[in-house]
Amino acid sequence: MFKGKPIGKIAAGLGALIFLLGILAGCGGGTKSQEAPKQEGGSQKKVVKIAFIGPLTGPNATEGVGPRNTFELAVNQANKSGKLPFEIKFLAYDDASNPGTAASVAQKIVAEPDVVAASGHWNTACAEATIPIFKAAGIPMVIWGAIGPSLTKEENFPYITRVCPTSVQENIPLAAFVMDQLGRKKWALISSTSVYGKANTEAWQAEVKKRSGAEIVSLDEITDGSTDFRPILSKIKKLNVDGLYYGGNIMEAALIRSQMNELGMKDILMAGISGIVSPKFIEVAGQAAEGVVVTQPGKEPKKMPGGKEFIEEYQKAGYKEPYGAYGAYAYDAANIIITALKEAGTDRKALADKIGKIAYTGLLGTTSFDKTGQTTNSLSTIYVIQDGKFVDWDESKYKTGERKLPGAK
Amino acid sequence: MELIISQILNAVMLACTYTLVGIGFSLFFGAMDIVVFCLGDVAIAGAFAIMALSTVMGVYASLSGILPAPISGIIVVFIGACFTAGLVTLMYRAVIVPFEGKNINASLLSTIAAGIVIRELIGLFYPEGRNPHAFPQLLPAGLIGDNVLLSWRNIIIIAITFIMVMLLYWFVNRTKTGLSIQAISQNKEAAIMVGINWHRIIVITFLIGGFLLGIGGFLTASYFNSLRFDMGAMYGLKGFCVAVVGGLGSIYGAIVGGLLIAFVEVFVTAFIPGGTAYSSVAAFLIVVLFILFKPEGILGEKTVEKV
Repeated sequence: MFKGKPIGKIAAGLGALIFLLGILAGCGGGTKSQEAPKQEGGSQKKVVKIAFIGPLTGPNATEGVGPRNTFELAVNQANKSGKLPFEIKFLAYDDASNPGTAASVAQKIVAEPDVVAASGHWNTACAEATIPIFKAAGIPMVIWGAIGPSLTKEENFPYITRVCPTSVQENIPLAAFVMDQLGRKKWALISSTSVYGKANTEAWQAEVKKRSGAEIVSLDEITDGSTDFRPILSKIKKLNVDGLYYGGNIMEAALIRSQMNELGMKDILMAGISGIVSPKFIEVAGQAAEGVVVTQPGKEPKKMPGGKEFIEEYQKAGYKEPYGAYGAYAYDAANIIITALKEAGTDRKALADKIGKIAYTGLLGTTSFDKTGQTTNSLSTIYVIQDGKFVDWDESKYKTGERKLPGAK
Repeated sequence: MELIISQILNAVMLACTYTLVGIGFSLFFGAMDIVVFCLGDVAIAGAFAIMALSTVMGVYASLSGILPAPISGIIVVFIGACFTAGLVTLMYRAVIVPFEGKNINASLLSTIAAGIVIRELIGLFYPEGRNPHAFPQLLPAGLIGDNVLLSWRNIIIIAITFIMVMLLYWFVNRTKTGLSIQAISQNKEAAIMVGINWHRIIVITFLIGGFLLGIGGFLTASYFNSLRFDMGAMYGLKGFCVAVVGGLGSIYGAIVGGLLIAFVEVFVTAFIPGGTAYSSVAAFLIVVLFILFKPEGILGEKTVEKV
């Protein structure tokens, strides 16, 4: 089964898994006698519920279904381990990327008896809509995939925590790469007018300000759903920029790239954050996608500690959809909730406090939260699009010099 | 200077994508005195049909095996446009006929609802319907000379729009059926009295309008290289604006209106600092001004009090 795979990594992975089980086992004492058959009533395991919310349909469904699966996987693994003093029931809810839907789903969750914790959202706007609801109900929510920086705040701690880096945190390694390593200084900036887009604009402006010689020569804000960017791009073309940064979502990014190509701006580097990382970007932008530089939080799961086992378990569970960019985050979010549950019990207040203070070592490395509830772990990877695929920069032909990035001298 | 020229071209191209749907609004308003609000979604449904024929169903690929690529492209687009014509006629039967002679708002609302239904059905039933799709390139992509501004695709889009408008002009002014449409649009009762088969003419109008919308959807999707199920909402709204500005009921008005709206959008984006986010706002503002001060539009004769 492991033929040809490096034994060292497997051993390390197994070690991590055993360590994990150890943590779980350590707090699972006194539960052996509770396996009684259900008919006997009273002595059956108490059921606690954890809710997952994400875009399971709608324009970002591909981003939500994988994390839903990994979250479920973590819950099933915990239940199967037989070491929990209770049974965890997994509930999945769809926010359809729509804040209105998200809020009504959150109301449903807080009204549901026995829900002790929730984990939610890929869209920042959806998280904004549900945070007050969860906070008011005193249910801790761990955000697994929404990256707007304003979501985690001191006054919401410890009820609202987040395992993924914010868009601001994401822009730091991207800026370091394109400005310091590649030496691109003159930037055109296009952003969406959404909360997400604005947060990225501010983050990128801040990064540019930090570096002497770097400047932003044009800033355009576009509404999500626009399709014609040629007027903006024709204007930018005249400015001889070193790079174009886009802060927004997939569809607009892909159209911008393909229209850049059309207007003869192929030689301008395009850089973006994880919001545009999707095979759809490459499908819609086509040939023009080649050489676009993006960043994504985390690493490829196979390079994470325990990642091999995670991938194997995921495949073994028979999920058809890929676990996606945020699969590992949802998996760790679930395990953080489960670990805290084991240690603090099912009281929501105690559980929230426990989550806030946790130092959990999982796929992403060690996650702990700062005083706003934001993870201090900002793992990320730079990708470049090569032959229609997102390729880790360190493994790309661009790094070796075999190919040149757009605009490289 | 080159910047201005390229922006003018951007605006002309955008106007082409607006014009055909604007003509659709005008045509139906002229014939029926109602605004059919689902036209944007119908046009995008037509583009989806063409995409399905080219990719999922493989019709384009199998045709290309026997015929030269441009001809199979034309056949696929023709089938798609005919589908759109059928769809809009079906819309007429399903959501307009039941409200004939009733409150004008009823058919207005029912067509808005029909648009939502079409949009959601595409999202639900087209494979990966809610995700953006790359639109198959049926138009040649090469540049003319080494000028990046002029690509064959852009020229063809302008040419097709022009040909469609010319064909419509010829049809409306030179054929008996076309003259009947005009007669009905001018005075329905009198037209019926002189023996014009009103129902037949309306169905023909819808078939022709639907065909134009199918072509319009195809050109728009080709121009943007992409297609998404909810593009129709904004496309239809812009088409309506174009028709209002140009004059509801006037075919040439749709062309003038398309140019005006497109130029406003492009130039607000290009020459007003920070204007990009407000380009659509500016376009809609123009429409509001027209409705307030010149409700008949630039070339229209009727008033739009019914909208």
